[in-house]
Amino acid sequence: MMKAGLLGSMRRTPYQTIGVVLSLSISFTVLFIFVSAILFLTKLSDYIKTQPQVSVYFSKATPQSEIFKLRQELMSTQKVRDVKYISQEQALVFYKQITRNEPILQEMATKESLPASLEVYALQPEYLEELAAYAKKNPGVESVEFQQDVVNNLIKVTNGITYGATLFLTAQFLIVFFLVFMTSTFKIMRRKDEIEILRLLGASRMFITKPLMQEGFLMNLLSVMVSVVLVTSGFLALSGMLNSFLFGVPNLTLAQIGPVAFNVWPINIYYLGLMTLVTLIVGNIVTTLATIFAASKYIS
Amino acid sequence: MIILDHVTKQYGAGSFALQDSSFSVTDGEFVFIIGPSGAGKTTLLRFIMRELLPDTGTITVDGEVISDPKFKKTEELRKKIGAIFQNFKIIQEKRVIENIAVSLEIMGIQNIHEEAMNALSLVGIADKALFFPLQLSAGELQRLAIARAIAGGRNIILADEPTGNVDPVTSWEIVKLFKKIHTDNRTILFATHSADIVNALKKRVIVMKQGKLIKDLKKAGYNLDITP
Repeated sequence: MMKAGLLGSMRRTPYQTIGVVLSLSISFTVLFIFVSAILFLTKLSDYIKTQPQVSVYFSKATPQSEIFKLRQELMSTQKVRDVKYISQEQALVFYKQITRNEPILQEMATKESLPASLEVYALQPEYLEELAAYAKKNPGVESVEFQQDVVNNLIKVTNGITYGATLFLTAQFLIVFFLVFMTSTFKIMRRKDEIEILRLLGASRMFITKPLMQEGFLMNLLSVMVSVVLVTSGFLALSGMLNSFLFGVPNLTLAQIGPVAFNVWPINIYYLGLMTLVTLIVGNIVTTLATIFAASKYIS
Repeated sequence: MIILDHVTKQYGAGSFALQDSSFSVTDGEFVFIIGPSGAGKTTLLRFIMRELLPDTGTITVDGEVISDPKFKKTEELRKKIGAIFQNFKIIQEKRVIENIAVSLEIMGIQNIHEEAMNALSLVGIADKALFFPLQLSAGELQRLAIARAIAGGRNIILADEPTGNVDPVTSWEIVKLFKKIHTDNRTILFATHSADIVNALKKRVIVMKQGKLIKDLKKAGYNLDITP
């Protein structure tokens, strides 16, 4: 009887229901995309930070003791997380791994042709320039390469998107809140006589509000489903372009529970499931609050 | 038991909805509240429903002072009361049985369908259970309101001019129905301006005029004339 009443109520105001579901779907789709973008960039930035950020290449004549001395000096700056020494032998192994599909290049390489190096992992990206400058001063150093621009740009983009998204998502939540608030208010007004009768029969506020909350939940569920379909279709349609654009970016895992990995790149079914659940919960909290707020304001 | 003790409600300067009225109704009693329009009958019933609060005086229902502004159990109070209104107050979007069911659901009754059908059978419209209110006559609507009021064992029935919107024949059928539902533990307050009904049933009568309780006739066998 309750379900029939719920669907009946939605059927009685079909355009309003469709309007609300579509508006909520757009809000949830935007939320989905922004949150995924922020998570992706954060994870990508974390990944890049795990890569050698400053590579210091030494001239072939530099003795190992000189290299170790510089490593010790860099470690003592308190600005590095780790410094790895790559000997000429190890460099050759890496080179062969990288060029395993190119036999000619492999044949040409010898350990003498490759420089020994230090791979410096900074504690903060802001230290990269200073560390590179310090290393350059060493007479045995031939060249220094670092990824400051990449990291800095990534940080700027991530911060920008996070700030923008925070404002945008706040606005979206307010839109969802007021949309549901207005819908609930409209329904309360439309059912004014019925509510008056129910109150005279002894119905509590919750008894009257519950169907509105259930309706809000149903509209929320429909909207989340529509947004999941939109996001999944969009992702599938753009996956070719994204794959080529983000070539080389490994699996970025948000969380791992046993064998289940929630990958933010490439987006997998578990991640979609998690985001659906989160959106459903968050959406439901917002719609429930809006309904309770409308009910407390208009059901006397 | 319902007790009104020196209850007054004033709407404007010199305009009293109820003026220093006192009376009590014991459990299981059938009381007519009679008087012309504007006498304060509806106000009196609204006080007992706690739709209105008096300016002065106290109202007690089953030992609880419901006129206290801090009284928190209005919903519990209303679950004891079955109200019948002149304009029926039936939910138009719900079927006949659903109108009863929602009342039972509010009361927390378990076997809703069975209880609802019993109430409909008692008032003689069980065959209309699946009808919508729009498909019922005025008399049937009032029967539905009575069924809703008695369903689930609400033991105080407040009827505000229940025959006001129906033809004379149906009026008498409704009155007979009230006689039928007046079981031992059910208290009935029946507001009307029809002296004929009162005279026919020979129950206790409280006569009101311009917000004042002017007579409380506790013995049967009178012949009232309430012409203003």
